This record gives sequence, C-alpha cells and structure tokens, in this order.
Amino acid sequence: MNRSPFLHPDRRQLLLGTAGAAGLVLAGPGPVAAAGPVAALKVGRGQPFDLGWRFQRGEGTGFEAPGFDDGAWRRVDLPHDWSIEDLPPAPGRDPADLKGPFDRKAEGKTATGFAVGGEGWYRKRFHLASAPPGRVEVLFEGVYMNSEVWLNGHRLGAHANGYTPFAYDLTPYLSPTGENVLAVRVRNLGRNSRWYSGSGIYRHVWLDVLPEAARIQRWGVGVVTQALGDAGARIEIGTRLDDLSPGLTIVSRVRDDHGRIVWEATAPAVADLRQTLTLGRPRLWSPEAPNLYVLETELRRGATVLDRTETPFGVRIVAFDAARGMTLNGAPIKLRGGCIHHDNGLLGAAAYDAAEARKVALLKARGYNALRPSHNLFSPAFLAACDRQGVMVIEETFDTWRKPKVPQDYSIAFDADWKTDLAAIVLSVRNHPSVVMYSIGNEIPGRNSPEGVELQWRLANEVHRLDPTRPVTAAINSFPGPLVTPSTETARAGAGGVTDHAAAVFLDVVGYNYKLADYEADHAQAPQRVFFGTESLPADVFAIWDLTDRSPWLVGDFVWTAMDYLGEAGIGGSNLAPATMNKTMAGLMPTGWPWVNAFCGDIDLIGNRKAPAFARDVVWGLSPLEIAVQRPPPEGKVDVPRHWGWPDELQSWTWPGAEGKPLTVRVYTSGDRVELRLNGVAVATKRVTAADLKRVELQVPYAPGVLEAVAFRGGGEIGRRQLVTTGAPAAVRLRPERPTGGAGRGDVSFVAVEILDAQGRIVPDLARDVRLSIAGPAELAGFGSANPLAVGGFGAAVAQTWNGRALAVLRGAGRPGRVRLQALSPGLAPGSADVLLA
Amino acid sequence: MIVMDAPTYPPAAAFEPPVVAPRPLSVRNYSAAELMRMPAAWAVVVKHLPGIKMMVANEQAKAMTETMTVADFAVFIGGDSPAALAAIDAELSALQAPAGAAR
Repeated sequence: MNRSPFLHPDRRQLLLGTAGAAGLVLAGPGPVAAAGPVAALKVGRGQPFDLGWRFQRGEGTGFEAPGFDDGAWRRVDLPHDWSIEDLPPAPGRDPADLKGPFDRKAEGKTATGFAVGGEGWYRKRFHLASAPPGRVEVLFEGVYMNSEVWLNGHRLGAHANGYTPFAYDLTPYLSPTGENVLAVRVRNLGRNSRWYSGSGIYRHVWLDVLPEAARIQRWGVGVVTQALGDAGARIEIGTRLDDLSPGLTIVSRVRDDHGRIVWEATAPAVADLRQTLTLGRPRLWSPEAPNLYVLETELRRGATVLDRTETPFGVRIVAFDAARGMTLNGAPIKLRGGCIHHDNGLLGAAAYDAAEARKVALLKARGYNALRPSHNLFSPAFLAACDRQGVMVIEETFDTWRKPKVPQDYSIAFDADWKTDLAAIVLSVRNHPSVVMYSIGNEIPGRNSPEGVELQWRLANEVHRLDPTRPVTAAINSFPGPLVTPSTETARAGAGGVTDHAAAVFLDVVGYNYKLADYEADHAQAPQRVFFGTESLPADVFAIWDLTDRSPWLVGDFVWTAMDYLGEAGIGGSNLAPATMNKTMAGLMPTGWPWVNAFCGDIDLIGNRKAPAFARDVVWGLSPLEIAVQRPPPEGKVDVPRHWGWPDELQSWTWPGAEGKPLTVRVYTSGDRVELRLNGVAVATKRVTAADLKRVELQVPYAPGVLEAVAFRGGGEIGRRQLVTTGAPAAVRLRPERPTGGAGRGDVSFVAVEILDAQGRIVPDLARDVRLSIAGPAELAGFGSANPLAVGGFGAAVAQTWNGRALAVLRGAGRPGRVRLQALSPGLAPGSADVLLA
Repeated sequence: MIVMDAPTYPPAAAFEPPVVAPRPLSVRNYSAAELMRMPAAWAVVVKHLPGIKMMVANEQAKAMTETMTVADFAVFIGGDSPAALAAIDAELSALQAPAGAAR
C-alpha cells in the first residue's frame, strides 16, 4: 500500500535504461504479482523477493540441497507467520485444548499467548538468465528467529535475533545455469520470548542485483539536520560506498514532497563522502505537519547508474533539557506515548505494510504522538508509517543483555551479536525523522552491577558512535545499587563528575517503568535529569498527565499498552472476585488458558476503543466527556481490575436482567459538573473537582431507554453523550474501512463486521457466529474478534463476534478486481460489501 | 524561521569504572536479592511484609529480584505505603551493611 512516491517508487526497482545495466536484464517479465515457483529478476536494488516461496512446518534433513523436491511443500508468499495458522488436529488430545493456533500445552504458556513455535523451512527458486552480475545480495527485514540460509546448498550464515535485518552476498554461489535455490531454516524453539513473537519470515525480503561490485553501502546514507537558521536548514549528508573502482561519481539529489528537485550535486566517489547543503524555507517535520523530503543517491560510471537509493528524511531538531523539557523545532512538546508489541492481531506477526500503517493510524487518531515499539526493532513499513503520519518513536533495541529473562532468549546470542545487531538497528533507522531517541534496553537484569554499568556504557557509547544526533535512554523499573560518579573521559557529554544512579549514569534521558510515585522525589534529588515514563499503568493516566503537563523535566509517558497484543495473556482486564477478598490480591489473581491476549490496551486487538481510551480521550482533550457503565457483577462478587487492567465497563446501556438495580456509571470529563438523565429525567448529578482528576462515578438504577450525560464547566455545557438500549440483533453489517485497497499479495484490506439491531445500532456485548464468503480476487488473511480468550482460529470462514464486532482481513490475489463479501449469521439479515482492489 | 543548532551526543573517549558512593541499607538502595542474601535484613523485611516471601518465590518475580527492590515488590502486595517502607528502613539502618556490598 505504499503509494507514496517516497517509499516504493517504481524507480526503486529498476536501473534499466542505462547502458551498463542493459546487458544484465533478464529474460521474462519482471517481478510478478502472483505466486509462482520461479521469479525472473532484473537488475536493481531492493527488488521485492516475497513471492513464490515453498514452506514446510517441521524439521528434516537435506532441505537445503538444491535438488531437493519441495513440490509437496505449501506455497506461501511473504510476509508469513506460521504461529498464527491453525494447528492440525492432534489425535489423542482433548479438542478443547486446541483452539485455532493456540495450544493449552504450548511451551510459552501465557507469555506467548499459548502460541506454538517450532521449526520451519522455506525454499525459493529464482532465475538469473545472464552471466553473473557484479553483486547479488538478499536482505531479510526480519525472521523469527535463529535462521540459517543456504544458496544452492552453500551455507551463507546464521542470524539469531528475530527482529533485526540481515543480508547475505549471494554472488559467489550463484549457479552458472541461472537456476538458483535459496533455502531458509527458522527455529523458534524453547522459551525464548516473553510475548507473542510469531514464527518465520514475517517481514519482507528484498534482492539487490547490481552490475558491478561497487555500491552504496547498505544503510550507508545518513541525512542530518544540523541547524535551523534564517537562511534555512543546514543539512549534512554522509554517503558510504563499498568496493570502489576508479572513474565513479556520486549524484545526490533532494526532492520535496511534490517531487521538485530542491538541491543536486555531483562529486567524485570516495569511500566516505560528506556533503553539506542549505535548504531554504524548509518544510519542517512535526506530528502536526509530517513533511518529508527524499534524498536520491546515484552511484554512476559516466552516464550509467550502477546503484541507486532513495532516503526519505525530515528536517527537524529535537532537544532535551530539564528546564524546558523536550522541544521539537524549538517548541515544547510532550511525548503522548504508548507502548506496543509488533503483532498485528489476527494476522499474527506478519508485517503487511497496510497493517503496520493501520496500527499507527489507529493510535494517532486516539491522540498518541509517540510510540515505543517494545522491546525491539519494528518493520521498516511501521517506521515509514510513523514518518508519514507524524508519530514519534522511541527505538528500542534489546529486552535482554547477558542475563536471560526466559531460558532460550536472545541473551544466548548477546555477547556474539549485540554489536552487529545494534549497528543494523541504528544505521537502518537513523534517517527516520520519527525516531527521536534510542533505548538500549528494557528492564535489563543486572544493569546495576559493575558489569552491567560497563555494558550500559558500551551500548550507549556505541549508539553515540553510530548516530551522535539522538539521545540514549533505557526503560528502568527500579534503581537499586549505588550512586556513582563517572570521569570526564567516560561520561556522556557534560556529565563528567556528575553523580547519578548506577543504572542511569550513562543515559542522556532516563526512562522510568511504573515509577510515578518516585518522579518528584527523583527530580528533587537529580534536578538535571530529564526523564519520562517508558511504561505506566493504564489506571494512572489521570495522575500521570496531571503531573506531566506541569513538569518540564518530565517529557512524557508511554502507557503499557496503547493496543492489545497477543501474549502476556490476561495481564489487563479485571477479575471477578469474592466481595470479601483483599483487592490487591484479587487484582493479582493469575489468568491462564484460554486467555491469549494481554488485554491491557486502549484499543482492542481488532482496532476498536476500549474503556481506557475513553478516559484518555478526555485527559488528552480529544473529547470533553465520555461515559461508560460497569458490567454488573454477579451477587457476592466484585470486579477488580488487574495490575495493568481496567474495570469491566462498556459504552452500553443494554443490561437485560439488571432492571431496577443500581449500575455504576463512570464519567470522564474536563468539566466541573456532570448530570445524568435517564429517559429525559435528571437522575444524578455530581461536581467534578481538581482532586477527581477528571473521573467520577455515579449510581443509576437501570431501566431501558436513553442514558444521557451532560458535562458543564463554569455553568456552560461543554459536552453531551448518550447511551441507548439496543434491541434484539437483526442484521450483519460489513463495513470496509476503505472502499479501495491494494491488489498485490502483500496488500491487505480491513472490513469491520458488526451485528446491528433493527434500528442499525451495534448490539454491544454480543457473541454471534458469522460465516463469510468472498467472491473476487482476494483471500481471507484473517477473520476473528478481539475476544481475549481463545475461541478459535483466525483463518476460517466462520468466526464469532465479541462485543458485537469482528474484523475480516482480505489479502489481494495479485490481480485487480472487485471483491464481494457476504456475511451470514443464523436468524439475522445477511450483510454484504464490495472492496475494489487495484 | 527559528534559529538553533541541533544537539549532539558524541561518544566518550574510554571506559573507566565510575567512583562508587557508599549506600545506606534501605528498601530502595538494595535489590531484593541483595537483602535476601543478608539474613538479618531479610528477616526485617519479612516481618513487615510477610507477603513478600510468596511474591519472590514466583518464578517470574524471582528472576527480577536482582534488579527490583523491596519497595518495588511492595507495590504488588499492598505494602508500599511510605510509612510501611520507612518502618523497614528504620530497622535496616540499625544493621551494618556488609563490607563490599557497595562497590
């Protein structure tokens, strides 16, 4: 879905039309839209390599051999996540223990949401018809995890990290016949993750075919805004080149967001080229105006373009200090942040560009101007979406260093790989204007020990060496250990001789996880420190933003989490506990099977607002008034939010069976008084004081009809909300989020499935089976609800709604056309909708 | 147009171990694991926060005892009031921090 000329322009794929490249153009058509066993390739950097793979779930021998017959393997197109696919029936197992992709006996248990890993193999045949070109390299954006790659039976290498990109030079092992086989082994074994990771080649793969060995180094182009001034913006461009030979030149060209050339220069090619330019009257990047430029870089021999890259960038300056806090282009700004994991709900970890962009858009619409992709690098498509949509990013690198959190996690590979992985992260993201900070770790065990402090320095210093334009942070959930004082030689700039906590001494900005109670005391003790909440509890939203908005040194907060995700099952939500039980203990009551979803997000797994989002909308000023109603608990029970949870409340006034009983209505408002009216009669009113922090509760005896809340400030009405009792379910509605979508195999389109009453209102709190049929050039990539409990798979044509809603995700078949969807549910009028794929 | 230079964060020259200050024994300065390794100190903690014994026996929490303090764990067991933590610290201050505990 990258229609922007900056992101996947046609020219990114082609270097044709140049004399030197023409001789290497291959027989047959270019990259094809439909899956096939052999894709013919042209000369060019960054050619899509996602289509036409063969896949086998399970281990075996000889799978890497070029002559191996993979005809019985399943055809897949990338991105692909096998952990989200339904598990096969298991003879002898209780069927109740297997729900779609979820297995009650999964090794990861609640951590991975009962999803299953294992071993998988991929093979791809491709054809290079001419003599070997100068350089052929394959780039994997992300493979979870422990991958090994072979070309024509030659082992190219292994890569442990499941989130960092890696590349292999294929040139030495290309077949002279032109027929090549790439084989990839992926092992997601043991307990290696604290959340749902997905399994397989779940991000894009790209192929570079270059006519000479000389090239622009991978991630070798860096663009930095050095200064803003009356003459414009001073920009520095750094370009690194590999395997240079005499007679080469570099052409660098900057285009604005209308495609107009605003600067161009030609220079003799050197290994490390530095250029400085001034952009007059630049259009600055910010969340409100995410203006982008693109730097085109061409490596040329005479008129022949040997290599070409496009680097989107933004012109902006981000600065931090304790007196002013965070500024963006000189203006104070707070990080209105949310933490998220990388899965796309029903699609698992598969990083379809449109799904990544949708996630960013959903959160931006809820007022988030910053995200913390936790606790690892997200896909390039995600970061590109943040650039385009104006969402700032804390780029987190690692969840573990040397000490494990779970037995088979990345700590095993850390010592051998951290420097390579860190470089891949920093160099690949450094041009994204959305990235404002690097986090070197999340709640790292041992960070306060002498070894941990030294490692903290090594990581922070390496980030500064690779990219000295951004500060380093870390997410710290506790500060045991001594106060320490670094020397000037060791300290970060300006901090020599400054005493600080061992766990934070080398951090430019300090991230606090769940330490709201310590903020003011820590500020008093270390007034020079700039810090922010890297994680916070949803229930603290009121107090956190009350403090953050009046404290310059506190530059923002990131709630855990902005959106529901698979894994860490049941840390959110609430427990029904005996009324006599200690509330703290009740909130800590563990969940287990069949919980598969963390359920602590503002937004649910399919993109709809949950109760915490109502409160946040008011706290952040998106809405003057929101109301929700506590689900009435059974007799003798109370509803107790879990630690990351929220009361079980809905925007609903449909509570059959509760007639006459007092229901708890929660009102979130920026007003100073609220009045509730039931069927036109005032039934309750309450003043909202500063101490209430924008949240009050009222009791209203339930009677069907219309519950209306009216908020006032200074005597004037500022907002009004209604909840209406719905009737019986009457129809299914299909509502495409967009009328058109991409037709490619990498394109996905989203269609909301809703159960309506006779008046066309969504029936809340309703679970109904819906059968979906599709006619046209698309397939179902995912179909399911936001139910935090496992009720089935996400790949079947039948799914159950939850809270009256479900979501269908269509994947293009590789050809354009109109797709007609129909939805049937027993006793309800069917629904239908069309989506035009182009 | 605003006039400003972008800040930079240059790498430091070399690593030298920072100078370490002595630290008083308390529920915030020491990790739970460090206090667990001091029987007298741990007895004080358990006396005031009996629920912590069950808490740190949990597999996931156990892994965090090296980097979380008693004050952090107290949040989860309802013992995080300033008065409760101050009472523990008052008794801990009477105990001698073992030599070498602070590096």
